Amino acid sequence: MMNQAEDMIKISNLDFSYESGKQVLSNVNLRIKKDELTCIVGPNGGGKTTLLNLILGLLVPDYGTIAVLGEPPLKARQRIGYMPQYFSLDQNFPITALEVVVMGKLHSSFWGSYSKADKRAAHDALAKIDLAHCADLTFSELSGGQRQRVLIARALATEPELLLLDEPTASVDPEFQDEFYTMLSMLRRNMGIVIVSHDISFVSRHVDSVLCVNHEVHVHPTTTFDNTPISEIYNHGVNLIRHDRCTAEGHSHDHCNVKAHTHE
Amino acid sequence: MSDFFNLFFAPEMAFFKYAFLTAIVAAVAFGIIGTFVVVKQISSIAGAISHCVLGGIGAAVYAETALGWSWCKPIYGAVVAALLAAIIIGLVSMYAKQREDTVIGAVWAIGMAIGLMFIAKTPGYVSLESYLFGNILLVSSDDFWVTLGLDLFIIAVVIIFFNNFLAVCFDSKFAAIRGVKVKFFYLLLLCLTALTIVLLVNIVGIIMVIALLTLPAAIAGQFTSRLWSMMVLAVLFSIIFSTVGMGISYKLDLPSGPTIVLLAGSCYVILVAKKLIPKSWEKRSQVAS
Repeated sequence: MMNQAEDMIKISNLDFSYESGKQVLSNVNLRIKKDELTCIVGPNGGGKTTLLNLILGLLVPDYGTIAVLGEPPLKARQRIGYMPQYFSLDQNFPITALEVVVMGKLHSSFWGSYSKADKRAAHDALAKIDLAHCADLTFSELSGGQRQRVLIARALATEPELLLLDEPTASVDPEFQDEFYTMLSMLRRNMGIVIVSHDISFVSRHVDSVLCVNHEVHVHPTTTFDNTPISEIYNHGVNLIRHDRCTAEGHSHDHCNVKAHTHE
Repeated sequence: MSDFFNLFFAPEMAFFKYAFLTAIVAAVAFGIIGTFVVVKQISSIAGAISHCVLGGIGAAVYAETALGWSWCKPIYGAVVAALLAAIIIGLVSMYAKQREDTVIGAVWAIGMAIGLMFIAKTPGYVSLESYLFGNILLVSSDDFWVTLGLDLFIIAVVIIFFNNFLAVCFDSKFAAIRGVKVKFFYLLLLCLTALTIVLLVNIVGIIMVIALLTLPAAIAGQFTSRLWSMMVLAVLFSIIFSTVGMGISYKLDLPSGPTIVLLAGSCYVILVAKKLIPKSWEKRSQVAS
């Protein structure tokens, strides 16, 4: 039996709507086990980002509970390494790659000063993503892909137990993508990883389970020992999400909205 | 130029010395806070705060004259009004789910209207001109000490919390996740902006505050892409614009506020134009070929 402590994220009976009254997520129940690589997929406007913000404690659910690493999100979030999409930030902001990465060491001390060890950790994190030579370049001097990698380094610099990556494959430069997957498979030995992506091809090879978010959440574990053909599990939408192997564990197909997967 | 220095050291020109020193001291705050205002893109908030200052000045002038509160100086009213405007805009945009843009517009106009109302009801004639357009040559020794005090306070707060301000301006979401009190630091930044604006009102007046707050930083941003060096350059530019502008205005008998703003503005326009012109030429030649 799965024990409470093994849950990296546990969400029970969660409802969320914005002030405008639009219900974004309803009756979400999910468990993500520790050391699992999970991918959240779903159409734009389906609630992927909302779910992410709820996990990060930036939004409060109307109903239901969220536990991240066994704690409420507000307590747990300092153990989360979060990577936003680079273009959500001001590209011309006068800040160097190193200054961005060392932000991962911004602890809750009131003064917010950095120690020498913090700066060393930031250099190490930059080296991990092959950008050690770019430490003193400003954000605007980096390519889009490099900016995304700097944000990965910042998330790693927090020494997280859970890594939350928002659309990493959309903007990482192609030449880094193979390295990125290799890096993920190394990182997952030490931490849980949750990826938000609409790059469906990514799902097939690299993840343990898939969450489809379109107002409701459906869990699709992909396990290696079960050879149930995908067509038996998905009576519909087979071409749109291709898990290599799936089981139906914890997942009700009847409600799975095919449209959830049909986006470019 | 030697005339200008004689002017500065002549004993009967003490007022000029204070104006000059005040401009230099205040420039430090303008450069630092102006850089934050530019990179955080909150110049419209700065505009609203500066116009609200008139509300505070009006109330203080009314209290001083009509109510006989002789201790109530316009600068106290200005400080209170600026801080109030900053806190209102900050809180409303954070919590009331209103469009920030609309709140800024409302505070802008309401603050100004309150000021005009008080001044209309104040007995006797109150000249608005130096508040609206500034007159650095009217700066007194008291003004100098107040400016120096506020200046030191602003510099100290920015140095102490620099990393927090940087994180909140660049990526407030990430900062919040790291445990930074994002709302507190954003409000603190708005309050520092408010205090800086009060200093600026003395020099260029309410209406032209945004120009001297943002132009030196924007010009500095053309030369560097590091926050620290942008601040240092912005301080230098600010010193140059206010002192040279003062000299020109005195020499040519022009109003000081507009002279300073036009000096800064023309430098900015020339720099931007310089960046734009070659590009459009390139495009044209590409199209032609």
